[in-house]
This record gives sequence, structure tokens and C-alpha cells, in this order.
Amino acid sequence: MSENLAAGARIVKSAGLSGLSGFEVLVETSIANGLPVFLIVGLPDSAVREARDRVRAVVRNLGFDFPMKRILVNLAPADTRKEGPLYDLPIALGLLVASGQLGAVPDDTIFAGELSLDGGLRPVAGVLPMALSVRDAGARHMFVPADNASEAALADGLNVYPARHISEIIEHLRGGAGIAPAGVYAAPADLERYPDFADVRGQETTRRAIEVAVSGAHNILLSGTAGGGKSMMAKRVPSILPPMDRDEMIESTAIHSIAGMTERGSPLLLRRPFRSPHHTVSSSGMAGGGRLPKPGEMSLAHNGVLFLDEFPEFHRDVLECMRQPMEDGQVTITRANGSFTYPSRFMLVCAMNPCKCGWHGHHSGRCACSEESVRRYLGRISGPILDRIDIFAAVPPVEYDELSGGRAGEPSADIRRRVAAARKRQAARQGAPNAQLTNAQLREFCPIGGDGEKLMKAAYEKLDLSARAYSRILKVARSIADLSSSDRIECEHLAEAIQYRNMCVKEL
Amino acid sequence: MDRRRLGAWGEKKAIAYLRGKGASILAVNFRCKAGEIDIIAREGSTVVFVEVKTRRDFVGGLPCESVGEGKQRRIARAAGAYLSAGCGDRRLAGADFRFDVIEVLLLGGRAWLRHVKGAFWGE
Repeated sequence: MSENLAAGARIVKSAGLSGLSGFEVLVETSIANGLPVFLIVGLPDSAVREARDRVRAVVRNLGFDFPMKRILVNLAPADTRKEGPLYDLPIALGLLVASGQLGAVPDDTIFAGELSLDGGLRPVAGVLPMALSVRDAGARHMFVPADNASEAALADGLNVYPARHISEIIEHLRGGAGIAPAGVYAAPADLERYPDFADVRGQETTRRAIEVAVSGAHNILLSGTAGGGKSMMAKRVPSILPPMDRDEMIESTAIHSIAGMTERGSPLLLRRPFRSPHHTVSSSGMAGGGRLPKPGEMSLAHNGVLFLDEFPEFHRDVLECMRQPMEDGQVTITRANGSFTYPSRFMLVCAMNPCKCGWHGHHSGRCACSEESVRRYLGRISGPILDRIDIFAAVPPVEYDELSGGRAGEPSADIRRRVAAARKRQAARQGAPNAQLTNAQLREFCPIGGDGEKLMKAAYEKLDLSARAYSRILKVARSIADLSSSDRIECEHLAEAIQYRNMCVKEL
Repeated sequence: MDRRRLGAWGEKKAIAYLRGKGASILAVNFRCKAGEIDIIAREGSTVVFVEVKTRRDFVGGLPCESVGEGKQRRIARAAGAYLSAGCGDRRLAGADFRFDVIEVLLLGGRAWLRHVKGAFWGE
């Protein structure tokens, strides 16, 4: 014991998070003579400060001696905020080491976990991004609560040891019964668990518009009367997106991990996320918020679909805060203690009613809105966001024959195959989906013939298009051409693309 | 017995109890600007700062419950003052320290004691 005390502070390693990137935290414990105090310093938040009382109880309850001395726990680096109860475990171990009740722990080993008062380990949030970061920083082993193990094990090359109780870890460190490292998580093969487009009857034109949008990663706005199936189709958009590769899955899972939204049994996010925040969502709910900001809806939808139903009802400031992230593919939130960046590359799908009551243009004539009120309703939509939407699709009411007819819609798997082929052409040509074509690339890859020029000129003048709308039409036409495996943009492709713009000019 | 005499009686009982356990009493009713400590005793290598609470009934809860956070802080500060003022001898330097509460209950003409060791920390 005296030997340990002579060495001064004892170090147990843990991890912390700043945005999506983690860092190593050194938990230093020093036990000195003096009035008995137990202090935790190093910018702990209140959950960390409460570790004091949990650790005190746990150490005693396990039958160890809790020294009545001056105990100082420092969480280094001292200038970064530490949040959450995950330091319970390393603080308890550090105390045992510093008081000579446990040998020194190896310094390539990371500990994280919340303690219950009897020494049981509870799961904590953000384990995956931490595991990835400490692995890259050179750590080789990580002890985590059993419920977090499969998530942490997604970090290849890191030995993850799941534990249900702190005594298992103490036993392991003492060289007794060892904990078996968690195996690599094997993803189940059945990815076909999205709602399927086969459930959607009729709506051929809307289905086509969605297919074009997905194949070029264009943002899309669906407008139509209530009950036409806007939400139903939006929910099925992820089913025709190409499946995520492993890096994308890990990235999305890490974001969900920070938000504490991973599933314990199957931590890896296999399916593209589909987020549909309610229109009352706040801007910090959308972008991410909190004193140490958690990812918001835009980041949770990363690699997937962000669906905004009742689009005009969203608060203006919420839509405004989406502009930059949609442009950059990432959200940066600045707080007094630093700025935090989360990725946010998503496909935006919006749905709206044509007017306040939702029946404008319906053949039943149920709409009671005045022209003025319709205009006001449409005027609510934020212009800058509208600028980032390439395709506007009207969703007509479903005819009775289509609904009752026995013919099911085309299944998602078939559509996905066409989308994948179109995306492959785009990747081979410019390495990015068409929605991200630069102006220079537009000139290079989207030449239109003489007939096409004539068509565009007519549309430009007749529909009063802007220069921006012009390039958007070209991008959409490029996607349509890609869908029909055509290297050239033909007149029919252009005509279809103009039509997706046309509706917008008429109504907005 | 009025309150003050009751308190003094309880402290006497607590001192007798500590002596009986082989502790040596270093100071009684140590007062300084920061606060007051009822008994400072030495148990082996440990210096114990004792707060004595004497009661005749349980109206208002257990006696030790009345040693709230503010009181704990005052006692801890007074303990620091005691140690740094050189009131103790040099042998205190390497000692351990502890804050105890001794509850003295006067029931049926008899004293009942409960000794809460390490009742609180000096934080």
C-alpha cells in the first residue's frame, strides 16, 4: 500500500465526447493525508459530480475500504467539459488502485460505465464514437457495461469486454476469472424491413417523381389534398435508396449512440434512418442542442431521409437554420465551450396541403379557402429552402378504381434496382449524385441539343424561370436521362424535368 | 433541565463514553471564528471531531439529522482552523481525520448513546 501511495496520483483511462469525436480522459486519483474530503475536479457536470456519492456507496458495499483521507480525482484534460455518469466506473477503479486495494491497470485500457449502488453496470450513451476515437488514439482494450458491448464492438480492432458488475472487472484485472471479449457484431442479413412501395396503389406520376428524386438525390416536395398518400409514400423513400455501406452504418450509429438511441440487442443501424419531426419542432431540436449539444433531427437523418410533413407549418427560424447544413452536409453548433459538428447529409422530403383546409383543387369542391388565404398559406414557405428543392410533385387524389383494383404497386426492390443503376452511372461520371453537380460539371455533363435549347428557351420565357431554376431543371433532366440509361439529355427528359418545376411556378 | 444544561450533560456523557473506549480527549468546546467543535478526541492514529446532539424525544427526527450541511461545513472549517492554529501537537501531522456525531438520548432518567462514525466528510 505504501508503495502505491508513494507513487502519488494513480491513473485509470476513460473517454469523453465533443460532438462526434471522442478523446481520452485520464482519471487521476490522489489520496493524501488531511481532512477527509472526496473531490472531483476537471470540469465535471452534475452527473459526474454525483459519481462521488455513487462511488462512495459502491466501494463500501463491495466490502472495500473507503479511505477517510483527502481524495482528489482529476479528470484530464482539465479544460474540456465531462458529461454523464460514465466516469463512475473509472473513478471507482482509480480509488481502489490509489488506495492499494487493486494493482495498477494497463494504460492501453479504457473504462466507461455507470454504477448502480450495488456495483452493477448500467449502459451509457455515446459508447460507439468513444470506442472509435480511443481505438484511433491507440487504446487496445475497453471495458463497458454489457448492454453497450455489442455497440462498442463495432469498432474493429478494439477488444471490448462486457461486464454486468464491477466485481467482474476487478476479478479480471486481478488475473482471476477473465471476461471474454465481445465478438464482432454480425449484422442480420434481412434488410428488407422497410415499408414497401408495393403497398401504394395508383399514384403512378408521384411514384415516378419520387424515383427520379431518389436516383439523383434531389430534394422533393409533395403537394396534395389530405388522404392522397403523401406520408405513406414518403415513409417508403428509404426502401428505394441504395443500402448503406458499413462506414455509413457506423457513422449513423455513432450519431444515434450520442443521442442514446441505439438498440441494445442490435446496435448497428442497418436501415437508412427516416426522421419525421413534428412541425412544432424547435430549431435546437432540428439542428441539435443542449449545453453540450446533442445531435438534432438533421443529424439523426444523416444518410437517410428527413421528412417534413405539413411543411408550411414549420416555424420559419427552424427552416432557416436548415439552409447552411443542407449546403455543407454538416451542422455546426457553437457554444461558449466550443463548437460541435455533426454530419447531416440527408434527402429532404417535404409534404404539404395545397391550402389551409387541405382540399384546394379537389374535385369535391370541399375547399372553403379564399384565393387570398391560399396565397398566404403558400407564402409562408421559406424561399431559401424552396431554392434547395429540385422536384415539386403534385399528389392527386386516388381514383376509386385504382384503390379497389387488385393490382398492387411495383415493389420497392424493383425500383431500387433502377435507382442503383442510375446512381452508378452518376458515380462513374462525376463521383457524386446529380443534385450535387457544380456549374462547371453541369456544362460538361448536361449538354442539350438544338431541340432541347428551343424547349428550354420557351419554358424559360413562358414560365418566368430564374437562372437557378434553369440549372435545377438541367440536373433533374440529367437524373431522368440516367434512369433511362441515356448519355444524352433528350427532349423528353427535359420536358419531364420542366414539368416538375412547372407545378411549383403555378402554385408558389 | 434547560436546553443549555441538557447539552452540557450530553457532552459529559459523550466524553465519558469516548474515554471508556480508550480515546484521549484533546479539546472540548473548541471555538474559533469559523465555528465550534464539541469534542476533539484521538483514537489511536485517528483524530476525531465529534458533534454531540442531546435530545429528550424524537420530535423533529433523529438527533443526527439536525447536523445539516451548513453545520457540517462549519465543523469542517473549524477543524481546519484547529489543525492549522497549532492547537494540536506535531504528532497530528500524519494522522487520519474523521467527523463523528454522537447522539445522546435522555429517556427515563438514563442516557442512551449512538455513535455515528464518519458521519460526514469535510467537503
